[in-house]
This record gives sequence, C-alpha cells and structure tokens, in this order.
Amino acid sequence: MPTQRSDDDRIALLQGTLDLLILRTLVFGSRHGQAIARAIQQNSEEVFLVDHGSLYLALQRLEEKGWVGAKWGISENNRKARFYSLTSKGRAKLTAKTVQWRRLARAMGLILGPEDREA
Amino acid sequence: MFRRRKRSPDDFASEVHAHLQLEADDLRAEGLTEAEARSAARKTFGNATAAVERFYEKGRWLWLDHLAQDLRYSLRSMRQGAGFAIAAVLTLALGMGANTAIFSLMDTVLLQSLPVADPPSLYFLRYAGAKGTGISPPYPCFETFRAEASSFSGVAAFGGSDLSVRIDGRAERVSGRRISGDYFRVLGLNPVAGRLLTPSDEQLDPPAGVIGYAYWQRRFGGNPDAVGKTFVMAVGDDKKTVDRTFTIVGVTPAGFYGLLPGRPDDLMVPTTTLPAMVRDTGSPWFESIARLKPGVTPNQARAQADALFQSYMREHPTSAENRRDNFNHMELAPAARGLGELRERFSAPLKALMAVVGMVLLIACANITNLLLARAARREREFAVRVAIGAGRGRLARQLFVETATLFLTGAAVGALLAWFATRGLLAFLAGGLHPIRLAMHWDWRILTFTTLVSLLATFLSGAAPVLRAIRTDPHAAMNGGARASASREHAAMGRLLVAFQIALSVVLLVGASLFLRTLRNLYSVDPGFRADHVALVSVELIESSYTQQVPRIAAWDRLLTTVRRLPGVQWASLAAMTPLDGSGRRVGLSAPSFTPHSDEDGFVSLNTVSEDYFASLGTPLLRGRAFTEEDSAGVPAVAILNESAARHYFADRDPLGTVVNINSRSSRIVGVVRDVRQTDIRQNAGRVVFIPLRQPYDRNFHMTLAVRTAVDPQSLIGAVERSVRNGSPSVLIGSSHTLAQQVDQSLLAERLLSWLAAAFGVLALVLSAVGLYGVMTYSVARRTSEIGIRLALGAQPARVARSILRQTVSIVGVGLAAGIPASILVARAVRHLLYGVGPADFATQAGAAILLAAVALAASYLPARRAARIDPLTAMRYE
Repeated sequence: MPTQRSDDDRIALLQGTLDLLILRTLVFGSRHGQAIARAIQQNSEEVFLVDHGSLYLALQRLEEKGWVGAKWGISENNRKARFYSLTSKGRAKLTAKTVQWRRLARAMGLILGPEDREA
Repeated sequence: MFRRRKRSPDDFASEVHAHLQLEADDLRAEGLTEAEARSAARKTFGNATAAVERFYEKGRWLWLDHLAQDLRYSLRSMRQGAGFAIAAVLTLALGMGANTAIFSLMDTVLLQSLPVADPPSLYFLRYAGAKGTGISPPYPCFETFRAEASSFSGVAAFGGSDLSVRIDGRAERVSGRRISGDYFRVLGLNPVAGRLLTPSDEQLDPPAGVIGYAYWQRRFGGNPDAVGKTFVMAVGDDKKTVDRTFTIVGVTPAGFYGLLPGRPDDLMVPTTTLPAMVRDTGSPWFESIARLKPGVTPNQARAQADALFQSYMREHPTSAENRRDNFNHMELAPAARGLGELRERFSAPLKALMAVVGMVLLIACANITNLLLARAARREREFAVRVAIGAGRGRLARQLFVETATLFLTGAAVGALLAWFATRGLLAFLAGGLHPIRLAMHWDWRILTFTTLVSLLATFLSGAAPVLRAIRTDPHAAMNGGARASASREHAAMGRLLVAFQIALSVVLLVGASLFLRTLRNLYSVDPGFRADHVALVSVELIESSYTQQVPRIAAWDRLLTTVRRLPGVQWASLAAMTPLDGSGRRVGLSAPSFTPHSDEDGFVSLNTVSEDYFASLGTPLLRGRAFTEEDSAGVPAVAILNESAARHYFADRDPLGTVVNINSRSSRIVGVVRDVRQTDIRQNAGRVVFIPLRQPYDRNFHMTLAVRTAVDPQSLIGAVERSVRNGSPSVLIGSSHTLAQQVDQSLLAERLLSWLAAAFGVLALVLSAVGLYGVMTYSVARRTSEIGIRLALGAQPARVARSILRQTVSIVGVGLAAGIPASILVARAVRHLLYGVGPADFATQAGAAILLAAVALAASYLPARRAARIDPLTAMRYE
C-alpha cells in the first residue's frame, strides 16, 4: 500500500514550519532523516508534503545552529543512517516556537471563525 | 557569515543514499517489489542530485570558488593565447606605468602631509593685505603670539638660509634653518639620536645645533659619534659677528626633511643666532607655524592672532600704503603639507602630465578593447557552446570580466615595476640640478589604491563592450556560422570607431607636446640680456672672521680676480653679488632728482654689487656711458649704473648720465646704462636694477660669485678656477660651481620636465594608435579575405584593392582629426598659462600633428593593404 495521498490535497509547508516539525518529532528521542520524514507525513494525516531534499537541508541548518546534534549509527534494520537528536538549545527553541505557533493558530482560528460555518 | 562547513558534500550524499535505502526498505515492507520500492523511494525524494548540489552551494564561499575557477581559466586562456596576452600586458604596462609614475610624483609633491604629529592642526601665521599674503610678521610680533595667543598650543618660528660652518677645521656650506626653541615641540618630533632643541637653547649658553637625518648619513655616515661633535659658526648681525662653537646635540627623524618640501634641512640652530633680526620690529624674514588647540576653530584663532597683530602694528606704525598693501591683517594658512613653493611651481605641470597619462591610458585601453573584441569574435563558437550547454550568461560575463581584470592587474603590476624605475629617474632629474629638489617618495596604500582603482576602471572601460557582445551570443546562430559575418561586421565598425577615438586623443597629445616643446624652445631663445654660453660661475665666500675689515676684504677679492684672469682660457673674469636666475635678490631705496614717487614701491630698485668687467663677462650690452673700472674705488666719488628699466622709470626720456642719485641715502653718480637682464625669471622682464662697484661697496660682501667668460668649454675650466681660488687663501670657501647655461636650465626645470615627458607620452600615444590601426586593418583584411579573393578572381586590380584598404584608413584618420583638432584647441586653452610665445590654437602645430599622424597611419596600414593586394584568389576561396 502506498502511503501517499494525491498531491492536490497536500499543503506546501510554510516558511519556518519545517524546523518546528522536525524539532517536535525529535522530542521522544533520536531519529534518522527518513524516519523524521515519515513521522511528519503520518502525524499530519498525510497533509504535509515534505520535500526530502529540503528536509535534509533544514536538518543541516538546524545542526549548524546547534539546535540538533547528529551522528552516524545503525538503524533498526541494520542500515547505516545518520541520527539526529535534540540539544538543550533545540529543546528551548521548540518550547518557544510551539508557544508562538499556538498563539498564531488561535488568532487565525478567531478570525476565521468555527469550522462548521465554512461553506 | 563565511563559517567553514564542517561536513563534506560526500557525507551529505551518503546520507541521502542511506535515506533512499531506508525508504525502499519501508516500502518493501508495505508490499512493493524490490524494483518498485527503489523507484518509488527515488520519486518521493524528488531531485536528490539537486539537493546535494544545493547543500554544496549553501553557506560555501561560492563566489570565491567561482572566482578561483575563473582565475584558473583565465590564466589558462592567457597561456593559450600567449601572443595576445603579451601584447595586451605590455600595452597596459606602458599605460598603467605612466599613470602610476606620474601619480606617485604628484602624490609626493602635491599631496603628502609632513611626517609630523597631527599635521591638519598646524597653520602658518601670515600677514596679508591688498597685495597678497606675506610671511610671518616681525619677530617681536611673533613673540607676542607665542606668549599670548591662547588659541594655540604652541607657536614656532623658522627661517631658512644657507649657513657657513667649520667642522673639524674644514669650512663648508650647509642648508640651514634658524628655529625658535619650541619648533620641535610644536611639530611633535622626536630625535633619532641625542636630543632636539628646546626653548632654553635660545640662550646660546652653550650654543647647540641639531642636524637632519640625511645630512647625518651623508656627512657623518650615520655615525652616532656625530652627536657631541662641534662646529664653528658666526653669530651676530650685519655690523658685528663673533665665531662661536656649537655642539651638535641631536638628529631629526629620518622622514622629516623640514617644512620646505624638496629642500632638506641639514643644520638647525636657534633664531637667536641673528640677534639684530630677532629685535628688528619692522622686517619680516621668517615663517611662523602654530598648532591649534583642540576645539579651537581656525577662525577663532585667526581673530585672536589678528587682534595681537593689530595692537602690534599700532605700536610700530608704518606708512598707510604699506599698512594697506601688506600689513593689513593676519591670515592662517594650512601647514599640513609644509611650505608651498614646490607645490606652486609643479602643481600645474604635474596636473597637465596627469591628464596626458590619463589620455595615454585611454588610448591603451582602446587597443585592448580592440584586441578583446577580435578575440571575442574568434571565441564566438566557444561561448555559443557554453551557453548552449547551460552556462549562465551572468557567469559567462563574470568570467570574461575576470579574464580582462587579470590582464589589467598583470599589466598594472608590470606597469608598477616600470613606474618604480621611472620615478627613480624622475627623482634623479629633480635632484640633479643646481638646486637639488630632494624628495622622499613613499609608495604607500595611496599609490596601491590608485593603481588598483585605475586598473579596475580601465577593465570596465575596455572590458564592457567585449563582454556585452559575448553574452548576447545567440548559440543557434553562432553554431550555424551564419551570423558570424554580421557580428564581425559590427565588431569591425566598433574597431574603426575606437581607432578614430585613439587618433583624436593622439592629436590632442601631439599638439600638446609640440606646444610645450615650442614653449621650451621659445624660453630658451628669449633674449635674456646676457649670453649664457661659455660662462662659468663659481660662488666664493670669504670667511667672515678673517675679513672683518673692508680694506683687506676688497684686497682679497682683487687678488682673486687677478689670479683667475691669468688662467689660460679665461677671457673675462668678474665678481657679482647676484647672477642672472640664481634666485637671489636685494632691494634698496633709490631716489633721483626731479622724480616723484607715486607709491612706496616706486622708490625701490634691486641692487647688484659687481666688479669691473661684469657686463663683458655676461655679454650684457652697455647702452650708454661706461662700465665700471678698477678706478671706481674707495678714494673717488661713488658711481652707479642703471639698467634700462630703472633709467626709464627714474628719468623717462632724459639722459641719466652724470646725474647724482641717492641709493639708500648714499650719493652716487650715474655713469652708464645697460641692457635689461632677465634676473629672476626668464619669462619676466628684469624690473629696475642699479649696479654699484664692488670697490665702493654698500654691503659687507662676503659672498660673491665669480663670473668667468671662457674661450673654451666653461665646465673644463671650473676645476682650474676652483684650484686658484683655494690656493689664494685658506680663508675662502667655494660654495658651488656650475655654468650659466646650467643655471638657465635649472630655472626651467619644471618646463623641461613637462615638455620632455609630454613629448615622450606623445610618441607613446602615436605608437599605440599606430598599433591599434594596424590591428584593425589587419583584422579587416583577414575578415574580407574571401571577398577580396572573389574580387581579384573577377579581375580587380591588386592596386585598386590596396587603395580601397588605404581609403578606409584615410576615412578613419579623417574622423579622428576632425574630432581631435577642436579638442586639442580646448585642451590647449586650459593649459594656456603653461605656454610661452605660442597660442593654444596654433595652426602650424596642428598641421604638423595632423601630417605626422596621417603619415604614421598610412605607414601602419601599408602592410595590411599590401597583404590584401597579394591575396591569392584560390587560397582565399578555400578559406573557411
């Protein structure tokens, strides 16, 4: 079974959103890139389109900022993979960005009104 | 942020690879086949290669990478087209080198600040009036500035003159400065050895002096023992002097040459060595330099100095006219660059030369543009291929710019090397005259910045057209070869335009050069009132302490004349206080009966004290009466001779002979009138001069110049004259020896520099333009090879073909001349003040330049024309 929906239903990620999603998926421990991609896709009920190239560049960026750490390791099915984990700085950023997002989402919700009134 | 990346692109690529495998594993687990899983994993990933590339480009000094690539590429292409590269670099080296050399000379002469502490806060304090700005007010007034002007953190005085000193018993003449005690404190200088003078040295107890670094090196070999050495110098005034023994207490720093650029100070002694001048309330004879206190504006300081000056002038009144014309108020002049004499003399010639080398560089750039265009046309296919396989046009343009800039910077570097040698030559030329102008040239960031900026500017100027052409390359048409004819036609038109532009600039330069050369020739052929050839000048000084009395002094001069007259080869020998164009001057008041002066100035003349035979030695014609003889001596009534200007001024049409005039209130009878002599400047008439005999002196003449007219080369006689002077007495000192012709040369130093360099650059411009024209015509013939071949095959006469090529040259030259000649008039008008005896719109000069250019242009296109005429139709048809 393919895991994809058709591309039309998907939402391209807003600028800066990807960083937050990555940090969030790492809350429960270290993961490699492919697992992060899958997690984002599945947890968003397949709504988000994650361009894998962008994902790896974003991971690189977060690593350079010192929000995540990375090291090569072995995956559960014995493949070589690069594992990412949150640093304390990343954890702090995650908290801050989450608060920010919730406020944004709430504000958007207030303006757009309850879902049922939508046509 | 240019932080270096820690992770290699390979590492990133292997992570992407790992992702694809993991994804495929997952998909297989979800039930896809091996092949399906692989391809689906790839599909979901998107463009993996692009991601790796993006990673590579991200955060990397990408432009630096590209630059390095471009540089490698341009060096490679320079190596491939070695002929082109050498031609271009040589052309540029000449153009850039000329600019660097002239700019560094200009920087040294006009722009550089004194090597003292905080130069911008230094100002000269000068009196000024309707007739212009003078020097410092008299010494007592300076002392009130020093004591009372609170706007300044210090005020110092300095006056220059050559000094006669005896070191180790040997008499010598050095370039000297008399300075007030806080001179070095005001300038903020520290000694390289010993100590510098301080206010307490003004007491001359014990007498102390300081030497300059250059003199220390030259005279003492930089030996530290020089500090502590003693020298003997006369201290006192006109009436009475005593020899005092001074100690050299220190050496000034290496870069500091004094406040008059070009004339390094050898020896500095306190102003109090001239006690009468320091007390004199009426004579200005030195300059004051002051340092502004922080926070004080020059205007406030000027107002304060002016108030002190005005109250000084009330205490020491002068005539109303003098007060208005000269001693009216105080002015502050910036002193950051020292005294302006050298700047004033060389400012206009150097600026003119800067313009000249600028034009030479433009001509060189035009050549480079032509070369680049021709090269771009040859490389059209290469560009087309690169555009076709996806090279960005921006990238292509940048690479071409890097190629051009590499050429220019290489040219600039080679040029800087040439300029280095050229400036040595220029400095040697300036330092080689009778009054050496010694300049210290530092090549600092300013020269570097100038050279780099000029080469970048030149890169853009000559690189723009070829680059624009290259990026407009249409890959399709270029590959086809169909568009080549049209593109190269366009290039050929541009090439011709550039050559016309070069010719126009060359006209301007050639006209300018010949105007300057004619100016120089006119200056040399002016009748100066003397004959400069065959005259040796030897300046002689009687040591003051040995000849304090007038009678033995005159006897000594007499003995000296007698011995020199006996030398073989000497026609006439005489002595004079001043010789033409030697830069000295002495003013006295002269009044004549039935002459009413209309102003103070009317009553003044220049005084020259001369021996008998002076006019004969110089070849100055006696117009009326008689010259001086040995009988005009102490026992008989005083006599005087006027020059034409003085005779006309005081006597108008009347006969001055026999009239008794008062020279500084001494009566003298006029016995003769001589022709005017250009005394101070060969461009100017002499002004009024009165001559008095050496045997009836007014001054105590310790310094005189022997003027010897010789039958042989005067240079060859100088040694013999010097020997006989030295053998005559141990107490004489020879200052300098040279010929009158050299003295004339020295007075025209700036003019000679300008006209010779302008001529050299004119020739360079001519050569560059000829090369440019040759290149364009050769290219044009090569481009038209097949066409010419067809024509010849159809029976065209080779001579006709050659003529058509030459006709093209004529039309290019015509356009160049049509633009260049009016431009040359405009330019020459801007430098009119540098011309003498020739106008800016001189037809003969323009015609000469035009004919020369046309001849050279035709010669340059002769080879291409002949080649065109000799094209073999068969080979030509097979061409391409």
